[in-house]
Amino acid sequence: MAPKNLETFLPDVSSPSVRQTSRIGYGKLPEDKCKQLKFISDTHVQSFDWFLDEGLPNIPNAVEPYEFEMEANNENMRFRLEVEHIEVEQPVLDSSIVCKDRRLFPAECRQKKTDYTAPVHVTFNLVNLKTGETQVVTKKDLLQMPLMVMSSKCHLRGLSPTELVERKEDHFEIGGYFIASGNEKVIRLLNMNRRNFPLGLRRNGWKRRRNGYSDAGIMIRCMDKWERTSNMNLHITKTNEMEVVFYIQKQLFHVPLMTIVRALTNWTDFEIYREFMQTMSDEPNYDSAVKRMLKRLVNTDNLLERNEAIKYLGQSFRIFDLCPPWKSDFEAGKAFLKRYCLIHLDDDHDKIRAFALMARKTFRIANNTCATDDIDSPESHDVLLPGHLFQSMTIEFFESYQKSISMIMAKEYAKQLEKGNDTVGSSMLSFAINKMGSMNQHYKYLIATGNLRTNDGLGMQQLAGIVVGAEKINFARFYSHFRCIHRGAFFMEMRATSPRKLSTAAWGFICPVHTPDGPPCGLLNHLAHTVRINVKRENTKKLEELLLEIGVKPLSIKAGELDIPVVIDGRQVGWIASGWRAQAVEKYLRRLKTSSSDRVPDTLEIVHCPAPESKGEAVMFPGINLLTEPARMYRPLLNLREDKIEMIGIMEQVWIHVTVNQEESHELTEYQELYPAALFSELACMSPFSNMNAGARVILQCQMAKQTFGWPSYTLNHRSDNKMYRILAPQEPAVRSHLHDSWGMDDYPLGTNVMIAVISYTGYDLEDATCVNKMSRERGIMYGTIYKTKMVDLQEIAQSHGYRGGLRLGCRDRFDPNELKKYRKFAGEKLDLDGLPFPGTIFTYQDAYYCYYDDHEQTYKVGKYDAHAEDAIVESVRVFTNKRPQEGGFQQAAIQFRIARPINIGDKMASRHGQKGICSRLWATTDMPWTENGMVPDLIFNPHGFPSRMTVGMMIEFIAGKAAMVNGRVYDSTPFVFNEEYPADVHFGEVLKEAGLNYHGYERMYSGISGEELEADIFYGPVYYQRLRHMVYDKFQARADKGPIDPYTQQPVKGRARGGGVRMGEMERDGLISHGCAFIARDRLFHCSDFYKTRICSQCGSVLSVSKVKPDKTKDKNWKLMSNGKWECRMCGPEAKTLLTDLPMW
Amino acid sequence: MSMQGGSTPGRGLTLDEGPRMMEYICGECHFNQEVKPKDPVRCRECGYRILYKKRTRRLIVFDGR
Repeated sequence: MAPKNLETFLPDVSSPSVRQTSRIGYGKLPEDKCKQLKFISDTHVQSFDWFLDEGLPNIPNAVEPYEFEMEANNENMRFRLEVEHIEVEQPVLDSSIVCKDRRLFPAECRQKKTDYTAPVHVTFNLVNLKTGETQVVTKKDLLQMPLMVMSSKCHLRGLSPTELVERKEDHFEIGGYFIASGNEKVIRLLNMNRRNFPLGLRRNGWKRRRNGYSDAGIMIRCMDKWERTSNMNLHITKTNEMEVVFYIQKQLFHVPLMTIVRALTNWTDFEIYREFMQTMSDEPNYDSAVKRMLKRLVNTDNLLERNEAIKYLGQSFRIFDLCPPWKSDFEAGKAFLKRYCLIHLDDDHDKIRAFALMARKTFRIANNTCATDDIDSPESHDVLLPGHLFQSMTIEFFESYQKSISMIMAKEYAKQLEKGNDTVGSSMLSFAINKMGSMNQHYKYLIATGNLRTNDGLGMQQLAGIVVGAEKINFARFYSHFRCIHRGAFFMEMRATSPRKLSTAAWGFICPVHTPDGPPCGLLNHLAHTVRINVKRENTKKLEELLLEIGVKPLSIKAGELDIPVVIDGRQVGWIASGWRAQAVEKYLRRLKTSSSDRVPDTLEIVHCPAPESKGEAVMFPGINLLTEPARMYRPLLNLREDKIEMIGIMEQVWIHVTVNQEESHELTEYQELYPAALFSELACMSPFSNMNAGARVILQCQMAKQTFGWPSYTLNHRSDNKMYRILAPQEPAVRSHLHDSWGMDDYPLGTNVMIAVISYTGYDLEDATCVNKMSRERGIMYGTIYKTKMVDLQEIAQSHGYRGGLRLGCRDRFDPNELKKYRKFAGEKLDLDGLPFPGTIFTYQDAYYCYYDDHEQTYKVGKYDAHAEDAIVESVRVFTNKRPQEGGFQQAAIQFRIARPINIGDKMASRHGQKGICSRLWATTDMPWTENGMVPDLIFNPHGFPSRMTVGMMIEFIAGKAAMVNGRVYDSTPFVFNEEYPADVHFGEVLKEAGLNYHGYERMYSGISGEELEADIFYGPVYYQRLRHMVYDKFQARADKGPIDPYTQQPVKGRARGGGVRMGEMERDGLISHGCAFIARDRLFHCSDFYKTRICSQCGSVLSVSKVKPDKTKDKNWKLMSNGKWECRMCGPEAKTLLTDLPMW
Repeated sequence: MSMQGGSTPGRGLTLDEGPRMMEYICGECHFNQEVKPKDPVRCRECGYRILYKKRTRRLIVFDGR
């Protein structure tokens, strides 16, 4: 049905079953990778593959050779420095390490907290421009390039599940992230303005940009085939004249439109006029504006010829180092046009036509005969992909690197000249390259901090927050990072709400529910689960030929008045009459697109904006836009006319009619959704029966699933994450959506099926609190563990003390009894002689968990386990060295602790319907109500949780789960499977009835306290419950009177980690006052805070003037008794009494 | 001495220190080996650079007799 290359991508929609766990060979590793799961990170991996396989090898073509001059004795010497060749190796060990297998695998980096990088070798050419002599220098390891796990240069690529496990990875490792200092990092997908597409906008700010500008204009983000960016605007004045604005190194430059056009062509003024006037002959204002602009070009600017215009541009812009200083203005102007002016087009006449098109659009927008584009709607966006970002970074890197190298060479040559040595050998180039050293920091900085360092901005709106950590709290959290798409940090501070709104164009592309509440709401979105992003550029030559064959008028023919432009990727290829001709072209293209034709790519986006019915009506600017560019989102839809699956782009979708189901289709309907749940993200789709829950609850569930204790990874022992959460006895949900199975989520479960009674019973379950059966807890329900890894790095400790070494783990001499005694005194009983604990040791507060000898201070030193509240058990201890291993000695270790976290009062749990709650009591099993067949619930849920939240989906899960348990099956909970015509409660009610249970899922129950039968029927059944990571043990806070205080104010400090207190603020104070508890307030705010005793003068009331006065021996008889001095007010004299008072310090 | 000997922890400072030589397991080939304090931290067999400590054979639960 679908084009061949798209087949694997389509989700498996067969309903879920227990086949995963009941298959033959359960417990053995599958032979094949889970194909569906792979698609989570596919966009990331593919884009990085593009960078490694196509982008990088073509850097020599993309980077302009740098020409420079060196002062010599007689004549200055001119050179050209160019990148000749780039080669990326697979990650290897440091050359100093002697080892058979030199491959570096990600698991080693994760464990040792190092970077997963690949060495890059670069060959440079230095050409003497006069003699033509060429010197070639190859620099090995110029860069350590952060390498995406699973990309084409990664050792893990193509390994089978068994081989992956051998390499200490999960059997379905998806890759797509980088490893920096052992942490997994993802380059976040960012919304960018759609590339090479003139967006017509109105912005009030544009009026202020220059005198006379109107608010209308065009914005275009041009990208050439090597992902180099140049942003441009086209502005229109109130008198309809136009100016182009270039963004160069974060500055704006205004150039009259016709100056650029003149520089692009030898056309006569009339020819230019004719091109601009195509299809616009009915607009007298436009006609006069074009004429005025041309007149100004001739009369005012005096640019009569193409060469003059180019020279003029070169002269104005050559300060930007467009070409070497000895080149003429003409060449500088040429370079300017190539580098900054509509760089997505190669041909100058294509550029003029693009300008003419933009001019027409701007004019129509300014005169309200055409609607503006919506820059906040996702149809005007494409996506920043990791590979593309790396590519543009790399281009910029080599351009600046070439400059730096040439500068070093010039300096060195000047030095050599003084010595009388005037030859330039290849040694000069290699000298400069070696002096620059390896440039590892350049990329590492981006991955480690998420900040982009760039000179010309790379056309980006933000330079921070590009990279985020791919936390593996559980697998849902982890994979969501790859499908998350951010609107841009810039909009976080903006008060306008329009970028946060869910646009209608986003249907099926951006998940409507999977966005966090709070500040990033609506800006941090997630892709719907069928969406993919294309990475590669298509060759459009065949498509263009096809278009001309099927009736598109070539550009050489003058356009008719009703013609609309046909544009491929921002390049106009012809005209087509609007109306049925245009429709016929569109239809034909769609037919070819769905039939795997080699002339029409199957990801082609056919955007046919029809011309308005009556001329002058303000609709979108008409035209047939054919988009093949990379970084576009597309998704599969069923083409009803062809009965085939077609990939539809986000801009294309705006112009087609899509129905969700057959019944709703009408005569214009051309497309149908594959299934209704396709509009959701993975996580929202896995939220069961989410169509029956209120939207806010589904949003909540999407958040909570990501904070759940789950099964994050199968390689916990081979990772050094600071903190990992794991639930010990997870289960597969009895009720789940089809994605759960097709994605193999049974391998990464998130919770437990818990028997729940909805009953108002205990009195301890008000306000979302729940009571947990004590026996269930003791049997390990939702039993969690936390893994914490402490890194011991003596090299780092030495460095922080300013030593160059001299620290070593363990006892100095294992056979000297005195030394052993000394060692034991520090290390305690829990450490081995190597200064490290062995797996299984239990640690409590203040136990030493590592011990090393400090040569400088001649003493042992220890690191102490410093968690107050709970003990930890050593899970594993790894020793390694990051330095050359030959040097020997125990220097680094990773100690992994395991902390047991059985469910406790105050721990948070939630069902998958946004129904979260706190465990309020561990209820004795004997006091629990029981059913007729003797079952006791694990958990008691307060019925008041239902009415206001309206989580009908949760109620359905009760009966669906019960039906599943009774029949030993699992049931489908994909959203929209059930509806009003086919209600879920009836479906599952019948199943229950058949099994001999109550149709509605009720049970008769008996009170556990009195033994009496309860009058009401109790809703009772299994619900899949998630244990959330918020627990009292991480949150409780207590402070005694003698806690740490702020040295300045003498008040208690805040913060749990520092042993501080909880703020007793105004509200709390008001509460105490209203209760008449003045003395409690006094105690809290004064005695337990900055209480201070001081003397005060009873007469003047000042504390400042009171001080101790030494007794006057001649006058005071009792001076001996007052040897310490006497308190006295210096202002009021000795007569005034001083009193000891309590005062607050400040 | 191997990992076998050893005392019950908590008995205070005795000369009976348990294992003087520590054994480690290679993270790659699982080779069991002694590593002396000044030896390089790497597997003698395969050269892998991460070694795991062994779970002790010493009695770590006080038997209460």
